[in-house]
Amino acid sequence: MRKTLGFIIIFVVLSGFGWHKFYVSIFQLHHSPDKKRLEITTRLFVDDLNKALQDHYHQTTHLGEETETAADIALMNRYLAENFTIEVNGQKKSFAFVSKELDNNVLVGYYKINDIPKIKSLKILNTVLTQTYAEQQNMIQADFNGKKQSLLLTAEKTSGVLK
Amino acid sequence: MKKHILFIWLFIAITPSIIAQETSKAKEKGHTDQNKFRQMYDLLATPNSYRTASGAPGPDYYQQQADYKIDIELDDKNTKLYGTETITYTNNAKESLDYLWLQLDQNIAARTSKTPLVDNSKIDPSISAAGFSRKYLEAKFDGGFKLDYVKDAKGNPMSYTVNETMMRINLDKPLQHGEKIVLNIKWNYNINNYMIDGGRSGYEHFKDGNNLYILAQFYPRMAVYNDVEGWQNMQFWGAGEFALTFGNYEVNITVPADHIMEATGVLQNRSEVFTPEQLKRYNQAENSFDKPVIIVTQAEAMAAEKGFSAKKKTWRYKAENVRDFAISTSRKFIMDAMAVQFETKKAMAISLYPKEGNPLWETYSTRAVAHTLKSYSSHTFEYPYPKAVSVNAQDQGMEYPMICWNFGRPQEDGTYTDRVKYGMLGVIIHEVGHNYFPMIVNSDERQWTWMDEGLNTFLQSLAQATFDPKFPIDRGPAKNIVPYMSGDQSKLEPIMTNSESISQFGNNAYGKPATALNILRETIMGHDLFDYAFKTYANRWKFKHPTPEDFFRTMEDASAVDLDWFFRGWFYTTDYTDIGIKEVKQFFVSNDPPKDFKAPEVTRRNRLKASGPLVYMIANDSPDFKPEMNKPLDIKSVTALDEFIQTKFTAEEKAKLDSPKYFYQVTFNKPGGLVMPIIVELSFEDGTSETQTFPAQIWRFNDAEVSRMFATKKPIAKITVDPKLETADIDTTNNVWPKAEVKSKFD
Ligand SMILES: [Zn+2]
Repeated sequence: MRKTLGFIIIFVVLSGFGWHKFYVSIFQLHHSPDKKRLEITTRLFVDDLNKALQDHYHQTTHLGEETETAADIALMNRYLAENFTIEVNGQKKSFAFVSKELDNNVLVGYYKINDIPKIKSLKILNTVLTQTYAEQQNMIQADFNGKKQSLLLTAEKTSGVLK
Repeated sequence: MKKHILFIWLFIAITPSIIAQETSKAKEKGHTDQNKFRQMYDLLATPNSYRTASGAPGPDYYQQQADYKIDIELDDKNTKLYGTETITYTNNAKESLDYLWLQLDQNIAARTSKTPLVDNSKIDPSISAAGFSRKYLEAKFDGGFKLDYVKDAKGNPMSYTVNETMMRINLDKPLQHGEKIVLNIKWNYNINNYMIDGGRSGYEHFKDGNNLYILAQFYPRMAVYNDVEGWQNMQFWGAGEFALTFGNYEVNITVPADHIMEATGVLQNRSEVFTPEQLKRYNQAENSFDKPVIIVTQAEAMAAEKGFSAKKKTWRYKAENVRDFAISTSRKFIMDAMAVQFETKKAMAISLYPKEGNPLWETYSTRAVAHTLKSYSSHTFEYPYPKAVSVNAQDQGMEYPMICWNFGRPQEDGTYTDRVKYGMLGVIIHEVGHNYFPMIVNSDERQWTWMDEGLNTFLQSLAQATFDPKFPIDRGPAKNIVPYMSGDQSKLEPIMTNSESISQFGNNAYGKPATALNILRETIMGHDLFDYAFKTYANRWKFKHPTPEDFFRTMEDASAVDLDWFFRGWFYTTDYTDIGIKEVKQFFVSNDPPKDFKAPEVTRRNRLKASGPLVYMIANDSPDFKPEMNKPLDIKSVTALDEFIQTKFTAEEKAKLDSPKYFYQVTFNKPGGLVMPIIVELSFEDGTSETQTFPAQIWRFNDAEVSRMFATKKPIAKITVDPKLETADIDTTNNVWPKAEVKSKFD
């Protein structure tokens, strides 16, 4: 919710921790040289995701519930495309939605970028949920060229490069 | 002569190693004991007569006492609070005290507070006009205690020094052991709108003009003085919550006459503040054990919220043996309650909520409170307080003795999703649960957040599962902590890290310790041993001040399960579990020795295994392996073995012999730093399976790799390590043999 961003930041500074939500999402990027593709797994708390879509597009979605619609999933994918961009070897690539499943209350999304024979660098820009929760942390866990690397992105640090 | 022989023997024994040393080039350095099973002498404080090595309070254990008489008046129009208090402080320490420290927590919101100054701040790429105005243009909220006076028992002003959120009372003469001192303090402060300015207390403002107050840290409170910290006077920065002294409270609270209130303690003048009708309903609730009774109805609350009475009413409370006091008051409150029966006494479960919380709150809150008290009592001790109150306060989740603030409201049309419902139930169970930790088992939150949050989150997960089998449980199940524990090490701290220095608070201080306890109960210790030890800890330290050492020691002392390795790994490091299957070899029993086989020399030690006729174990990858060997063991076809059995055993004995047919040697490796039990599931070709567990101590001589052999009656089709995801193994791709071709989620 852009409107209350300023408020949220102040809130966080003084807020109590009696109850602490997770506020951590995970984005796993795995390169498969055999299949020449980048495989992306997103793990987002489904209620956070519904709230973000409400804040962003002013639409009530029911992801993870029985009343979930195809339009809800499309809106989620639009939100991810707008807030999570990947540059492979200096070129912006869009990812295709494969499937999703619910693991307890985490919505696990599977996406892929085809025709990636080799990765020299990955630039990630990620603002997923950071405008809904100022203390949101997005953990990027990448695995390519046999090397595991990670990036912690937040409202303050929204992008990073992995080589 | 005898001496001489000894020398010769020594010489013979030493010579080869001397030669070996001369030939190797680089000299290795020595090291201290790095074994993961070494006892925690290097980490734990030395036990003493205050705190024993068994984890129980020692013969010299003491704690201070702080009794309060407080008068509060709420100015609803100006959202301001006025108070006077008399604190009677008793020094039970053997040593005398030169000065006293009090906590002035409200000063975190003072304009001079240093709390905002220790945070990173950057320009927002975009910000709302209102947010910009508030951040850059408007005067900051004028919070913090305004002290009118601090006086002694006779009314003479006392000398004091305020250092941010702490106040030192400078005593004329030291307070001796056993002496009491009386402090009289008068103060006021502006109450914060916590939806704007943040905080664990304050008020929520509604469009209808009403405020819903949740008042806490509203009075100067005695800091803790004890044998571990001296005065716990670390500043209140915001994350490290409270360290508080037990005492008895008498609190009189004056509010507008049309308010409904709940607070810590027993209400002394219910007949003056309730209508006769409400009084009757309350008496009904006291005997309603199966469902809540509405005491203040929604209709009454909706009438009251239009009133804005100029008259006042005073609510009088008494609370015994509590570490703090908190109040919630508003015109908007609906109230319901029911009674909860324990073994020897009963308590009231109570809820307060505005109409905006319905229908969610009238349906679930009080029932969740009652369930929580029963569930937690079964794992600790009978709930000793007369009541537990759940207050609906937007965006809050915060605990105080007998009362707590909980978020969760339906949409404006009254509908709500499962997420909202379970979110609200989760926070209620959590905050009511805090009555046990840290309100009664009174750990130092300013130093160790995990001691109350971790233990409480663990018990919360147990209470949630019994409240509703479908309850989604975030924290507790081992697999849920994997994303955190497998994360970037530069962003992780051990659980044993001060409350103010934890970067992922929810995962570090809530999730990981709750998971650790869950693993202890489910996988390492078992329910009986764990529950007895955990109960022992709770009972030893109820109404006292425990430290982490007291917890670690009690869990071990009461169970005879060595847990040093577990606490060292899980609480003092950022190591993670990763155990895999490195190699599996199948062996076949053969009459014929392998090609260059040399019979081992028979010594005193191996004479049973190595003397007499031999049988040979041939691995499926050895050059001596022949395809025709690939069949189950038939003892008849192994001459030496068959003859041995025929001559050695009677027919009756033979009938009792085991009859393994297949032989496997499995090598497990451990890329992860944590030692954990190896849980192995053997799946047989006929579809059956069996699970074997090897205790963590299997890693004691080799922290990288261990092997086990399995002699089975049926051929093994698949071996899986940790099949039920009990150990928080961060990489399960190496847990299966044969390496499964996992069907890609991306095809
Ligand atoms: Zn808590």
